[in-house]
Amino acid sequence: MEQDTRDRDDPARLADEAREGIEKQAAEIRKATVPIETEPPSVYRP
Amino acid sequence: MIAFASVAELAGALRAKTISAVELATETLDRLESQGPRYNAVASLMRTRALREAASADRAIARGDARSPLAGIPYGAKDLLAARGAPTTWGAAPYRDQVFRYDATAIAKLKRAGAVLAAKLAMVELAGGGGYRYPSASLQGPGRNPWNVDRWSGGSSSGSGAAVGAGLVPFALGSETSGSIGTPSAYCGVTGLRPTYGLVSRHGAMALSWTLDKIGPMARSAADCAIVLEAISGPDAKDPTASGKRFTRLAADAARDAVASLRIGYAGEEIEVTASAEARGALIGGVEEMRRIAPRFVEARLPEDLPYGPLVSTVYAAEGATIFAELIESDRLDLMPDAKQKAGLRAALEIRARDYLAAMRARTVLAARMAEIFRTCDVILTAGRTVTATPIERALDAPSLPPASSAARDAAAPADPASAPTRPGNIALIPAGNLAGLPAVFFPCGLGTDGLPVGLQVVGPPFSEPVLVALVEAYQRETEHHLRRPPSA
Repeated sequence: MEQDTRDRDDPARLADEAREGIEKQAAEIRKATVPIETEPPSVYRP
Repeated sequence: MIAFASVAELAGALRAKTISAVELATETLDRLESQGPRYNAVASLMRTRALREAASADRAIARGDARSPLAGIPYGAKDLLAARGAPTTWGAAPYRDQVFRYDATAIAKLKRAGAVLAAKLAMVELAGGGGYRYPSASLQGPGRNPWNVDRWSGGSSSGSGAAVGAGLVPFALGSETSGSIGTPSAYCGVTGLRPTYGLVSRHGAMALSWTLDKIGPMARSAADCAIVLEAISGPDAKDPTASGKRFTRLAADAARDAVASLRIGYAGEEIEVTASAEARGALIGGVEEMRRIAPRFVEARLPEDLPYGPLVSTVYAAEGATIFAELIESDRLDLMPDAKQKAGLRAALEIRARDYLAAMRARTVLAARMAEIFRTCDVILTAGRTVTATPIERALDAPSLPPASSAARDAAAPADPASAPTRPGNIALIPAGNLAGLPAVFFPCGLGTDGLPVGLQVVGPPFSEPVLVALVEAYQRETEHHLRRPPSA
């Protein structure tokens, strides 16, 4: 991967990194399988 | 006389009339005013209100109807809790002039108990929502550690940790979404209690995450935390997420019996392998002290197939971005100094519902898995933090220092296909415990080789605070780590 040469506190770099971080976290979460029989997980109370 | 005194000692002095509540408040206010700036610990001094509340406590004590041990005891509250008529800045410049016309429920309950609100205490802006890079991400400046002002006091309850650690107040209220009571407690050498989700009302507290936020005490000991928790726990019609349960300490006999039979879940590699060279010895020593007090250690490990960091980050980022959407989409966001935090808040607006809900579903699984673990042990013991307080100028996402052990050095070396990978132990107990809404007590267990505080944590099932408090009280009766004072304080 090409190294980012922008200053580490550069706002554009930080914005890119923040978006990448969210995608990486989402990918990790999607790897965790949740059996459907655990539903419903909601705490919603009408 | 009053600096570093416990709540029980101060309550005894007030009832013996060796000091009045007004005298105690005045001395506390003066110390907060003169020494608070050294640590960037104070957001607002509450002199007028404190002296009024102290005079009221003196009258109650004189009448003999001050029932709570908190009557006349001064304290500080993290500046995310509303206090009627006072600035409540949430540590952030966009809210510099914010004033609420009511008290947060936790503060109102302390007022009913006769406690004296002496100061609003500094915090990381918006309790760190978005993810900050530098300790300077606070309206009051970087939280400075009473043990070394060139080190961070931890976040996001920075001022609460520093003020208690420096002996400026006997206790403070902090809050935790994921680590914000634990980190400053560990770094500043104080005892912090993160209650079960829903045990303490959050009415009047800034919301960063509806499903994670907890309000809890930070004090000189578990005994003092328990006194505060008794006052602030319980039902509140203004907070629909409040469980309605109350915390009550175990009686002395019951506490002794409970501690003697407790099964302490422990993994160990998170300390023996992962801890920094500075913290490792004190952590291991603390575990051995605990083993003498509660000898039934059993192996317990968090599930290794759940992504705790991504789960907790996704939940509080998505909820926080929704809460602060108006700010994030306005020019006022630029009033905040930390560029990484601003970028994180903006990006969090784009978290997909699918991923937030997937994280919430995984929490259901985690809660069930934690319940399974607590069938084999009663509490889990691990490090509060595996490092001592970091330098004030260092980026919080900078690579960490090399861990202490040769095993860890080996782990960083080129992989040997024949060697087993290092297990993570319970290194993720802070995010895991918060995701599952579990209570924790963080407590000092010694000093690192750099002279800075080091602490452990114990975590139990929901509403197990009486047992956690009993265990840490037993530890603190046998040790003196919680009584240490910073050299310069």
